[in-house]
Amino acid sequence: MQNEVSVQFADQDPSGFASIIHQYLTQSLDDSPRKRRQALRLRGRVAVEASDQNAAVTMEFAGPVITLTNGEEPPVDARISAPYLILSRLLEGRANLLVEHLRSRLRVRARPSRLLLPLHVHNLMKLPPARER
Amino acid sequence: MSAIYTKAWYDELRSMLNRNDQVAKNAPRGKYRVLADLKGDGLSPYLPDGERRFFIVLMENGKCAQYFEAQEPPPRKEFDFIFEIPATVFEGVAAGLVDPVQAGLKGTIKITGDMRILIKHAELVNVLRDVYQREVETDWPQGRPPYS
Repeated sequence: MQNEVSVQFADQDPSGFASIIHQYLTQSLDDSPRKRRQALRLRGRVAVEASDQNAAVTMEFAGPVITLTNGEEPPVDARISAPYLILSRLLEGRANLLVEHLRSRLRVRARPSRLLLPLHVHNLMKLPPARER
Repeated sequence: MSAIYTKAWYDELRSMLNRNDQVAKNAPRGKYRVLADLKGDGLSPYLPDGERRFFIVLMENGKCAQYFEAQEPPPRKEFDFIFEIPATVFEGVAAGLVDPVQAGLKGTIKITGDMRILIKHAELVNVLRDVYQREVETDWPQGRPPYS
């Protein structure tokens, strides 16, 4: 299929966090050709940490394949760390990456050559407006 | 005060959920069927090792329409969300000892369903934890967690 993107695990026993992100990404990509196109353009490794839950997952974007690894697996191009509820608000689109960073409720770090990667990943992952039954 | 896993306990939970404004505020609109699939893990005195217990929660526009235990394993495809939980972990949540968010992120609780809905209503998990921990008075006739 054109624009096909698959999400896979690096670990045989994925963590709960990795499993949640896997389902989330798969469902989002399945429903949206635009998000699949966005994902195909992304390259890089991003670690996301739920800082209050001691849980992290590393996402490697390599065009048609997104690989999820338990925990933070260096080297990464960018790192996003925030309490779980802030991360979920980011995904909902109720919070803004830069604003939360400036408010110190979230920490974003990126290699100088990949400064925009966290924003691109956030754009890929955040939910479109209202989808409920 | 009702004993855990009795009909009175499920009814009390349903009633608590429906009286709680935060549940109504944070729960998704529409109808959602949720299955909790509990498995005995050798520690819980309420569910022998390897045995399973199923309960079903039907949420309808922010209200809990049904909360009951099923005698037979229901078809999984009927549910929007499935939570697979070791009995000790579930009882730990009910006793206020286990954080359900942390258990979900670690994979102790396995969650299947539309994660977009779950993430959009992430605050509901904290509200439900508070209902279990602070509002429902659970009786533990065979002992209260943590189990030794």
